[in-house]
Amino acid sequence: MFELRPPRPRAVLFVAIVVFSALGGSAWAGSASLEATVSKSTLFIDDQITLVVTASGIDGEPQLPDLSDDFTVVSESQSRSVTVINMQIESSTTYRYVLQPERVGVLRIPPIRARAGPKTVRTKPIQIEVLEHQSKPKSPAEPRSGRQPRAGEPEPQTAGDEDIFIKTEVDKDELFLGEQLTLTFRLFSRYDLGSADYTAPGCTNFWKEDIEGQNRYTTVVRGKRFRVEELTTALFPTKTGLQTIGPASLKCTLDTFFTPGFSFRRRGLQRPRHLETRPIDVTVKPLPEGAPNGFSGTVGQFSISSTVDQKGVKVGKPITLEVRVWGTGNVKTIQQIPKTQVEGFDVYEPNIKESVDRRKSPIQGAKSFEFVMVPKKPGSQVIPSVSFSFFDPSAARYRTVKTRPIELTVTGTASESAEAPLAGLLKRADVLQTGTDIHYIRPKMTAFEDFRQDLYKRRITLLLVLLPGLVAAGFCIRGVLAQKLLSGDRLRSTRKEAMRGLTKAKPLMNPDAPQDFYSQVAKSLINYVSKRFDVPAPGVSALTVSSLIGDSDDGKRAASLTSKCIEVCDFYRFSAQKSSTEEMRSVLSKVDEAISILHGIAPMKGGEQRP
Amino acid sequence: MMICPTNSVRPFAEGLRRTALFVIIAVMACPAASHARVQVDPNVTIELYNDGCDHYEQDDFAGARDRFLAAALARWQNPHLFYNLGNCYFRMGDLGRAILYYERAKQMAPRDASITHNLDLARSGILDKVEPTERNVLAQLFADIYSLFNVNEWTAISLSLYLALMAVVIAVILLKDEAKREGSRARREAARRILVRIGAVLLILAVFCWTNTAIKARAFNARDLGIVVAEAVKARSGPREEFAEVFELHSGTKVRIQTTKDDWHQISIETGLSGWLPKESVETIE
Repeated sequence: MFELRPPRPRAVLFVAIVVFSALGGSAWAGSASLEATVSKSTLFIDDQITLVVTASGIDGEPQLPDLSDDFTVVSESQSRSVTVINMQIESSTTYRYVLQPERVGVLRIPPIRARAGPKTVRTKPIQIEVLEHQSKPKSPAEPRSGRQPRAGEPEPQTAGDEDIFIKTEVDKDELFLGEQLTLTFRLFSRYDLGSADYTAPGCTNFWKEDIEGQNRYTTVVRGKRFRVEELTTALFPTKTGLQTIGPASLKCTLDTFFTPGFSFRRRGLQRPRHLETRPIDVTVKPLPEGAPNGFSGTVGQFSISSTVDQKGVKVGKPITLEVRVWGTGNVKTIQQIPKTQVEGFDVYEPNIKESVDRRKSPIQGAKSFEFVMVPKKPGSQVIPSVSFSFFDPSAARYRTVKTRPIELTVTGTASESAEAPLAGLLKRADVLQTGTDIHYIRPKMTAFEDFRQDLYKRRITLLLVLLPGLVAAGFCIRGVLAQKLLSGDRLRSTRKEAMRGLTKAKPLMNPDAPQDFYSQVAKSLINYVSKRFDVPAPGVSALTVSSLIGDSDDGKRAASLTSKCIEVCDFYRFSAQKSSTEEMRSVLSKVDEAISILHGIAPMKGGEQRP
Repeated sequence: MMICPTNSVRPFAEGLRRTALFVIIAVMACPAASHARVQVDPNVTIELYNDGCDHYEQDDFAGARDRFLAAALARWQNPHLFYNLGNCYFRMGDLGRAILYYERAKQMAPRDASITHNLDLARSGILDKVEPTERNVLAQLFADIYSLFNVNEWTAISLSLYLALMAVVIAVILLKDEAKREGSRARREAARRILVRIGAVLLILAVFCWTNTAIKARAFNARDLGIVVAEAVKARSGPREEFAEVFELHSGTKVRIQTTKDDWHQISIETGLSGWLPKESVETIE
């Protein structure tokens, strides 16, 4: 609501000047003089005087005596002049104090003292006569500038003290129903606000419109300069009788370190304050009897006009009639202008536009009604005048304003009106629910449907749960069995094949040329091992066979036999050595034994399982 | 025509049929019969129902209510019947029983807009303000899904998912066997992997739906939810009149029945308050 302002540099500047002058004064100390004069010796209580103190050759500043009983120091300033005459440097400082008298009578400004080396110089006392002014405010916090209340206006409500106060006031204490009442809230503060929490007055039974913008200005109240923040609200009473505008309140902290003007009083840094004005009563009078027909409660000063977007139109082509009501007052209370019935025209519901100017008080605004009208037949037509009634509070009587009739020329033929497209011209409104009730009962039935909630415990449900499970289980079992059967078949056929190979080797037993015999035996054995353990035949050798066969006793024995057989076969296959028949039979017997053992054992990894 | 708890009723002459209707109503009016099931010819039930509709249209809400109640006694489970009964009670100003029957109808037809509308309207008129417990987003989502279907629908959905899952399982088994026997092993293996993933999703959904089915069925059978039908009733700290009053409930408030002892229900409401109410002041939502 209220902005936090940065500290003014004046105070800092003032301190700098004081320090500078103190130093400078001592540098050019010579013959000291001190004079004091006032701008006038007689004044009214709400006037101000300027005390001018001219000092030369003094140490520091002149000591202004305590004037707080008679005067308030509104502001102060100083200026310095340096002159060189005959190689002599002379300087003088002029101090100006603006003083506001505190009371009526003959007031005295005591001598002003200053040190000049070991001596003390002083001015002569000054007497001032203060006269009572006719417009002296009653309140200690009443501003001396700005708008003064007129006769008949209610007294403003203030709260606060000499440093900060708030004030609410209304521009009238008696008004008509619907008439604008301007409520003004002002904050007077001599200090910057650290924080501010403003609560607007409660305005029950008033239509409220805030005036935009926040006025800021400075004013002098009882000789003190205040910064003023001003808020204005337009209120429109909605109920007759004695109405009360609630109190306005402000919670804030004062930043009193930086302050305009100069004061000899002691200051703090942060001071929390809570200010609240008293409620304001206003009397709302009812509107007088004798309201004209069509009056809908609008109060203010209004005008009316009507225009059409084209005065020559073809049959079936729409035109827009705009009826505009504008003026001072609450335009929101303007009810819809009745549809203007024009013979030979279809007139549709209007599009309503509203604008309110809240930049100044009293509030102004306008409301326009745009009627879409479609001519149905050719010829000259007249849109009759439209009237609008309102109550003028300044004249305390009802007024009726009217538009001028508008002449239109419609061309074309009547048949064209049926072809004219109206899509998009009509303003569709939301369908609003105007009441609630239960939905109607369900209709009669021919068959009674059963909604028994027991599907989960019916037999069909149980069947549907069990059946697929059984089917899936069946498929699983079938797969396992098929796999086992398949592996058994393969095992048997592999053994048969190996046996056939050994049978083929028997006719090849020739001690002088045993290579063919051993090749056939080795081929049969290696092929068997390859198929039995699902490894490629080239990977089967005397060295690798033990890693393929399990490490059980049978496995070890089979691995040993197989390895030895392969070694013997390889020896005779790849050398020119001769072999005996007994040795060949022995090899056949060992291979047969190895295959028999291998048939009954499981492989070490992968491959087929034990049948 | 004979009306008895065990035997079916055969249609007879029209006059006799009318008499039967009133006998049903008379039986229904008896307190002992309020929980009994009367097995009646479906045609008679429909006639009672349609007769009730006629009375309702003539603004005879009490007459309509009696006929609907008689039909309800014969064939319990029909949302339209309960909905119409709720309307009769609403028109007669008995909000408690109106809510009771709307709730019963909603259990069977949870997505019926008219039932929801009327139930909301009836609830807006009850005196006790019992705010439901705040749920997080996920819990609210599950609760909404849960209340979307009735028991039968949940069963059907669960069953469908289960059958689809079983079909996928069988397909996976068959594909595995085929892959071992013949060539194009890679293609079959890829198909099998896709089916396994579909099966995993179906398994999760099926478990979720079966869980909902089980909870819904349990809630349906538990009869642990009730509506206060007495205009105002004082909850006591124990199951006798001598116990201290702990709070007061009014017609239409939903309660959860925790235990039953003699002629008293121990109930709790959403706010956490618990007390004992006379049995006759509460009717269960079955």
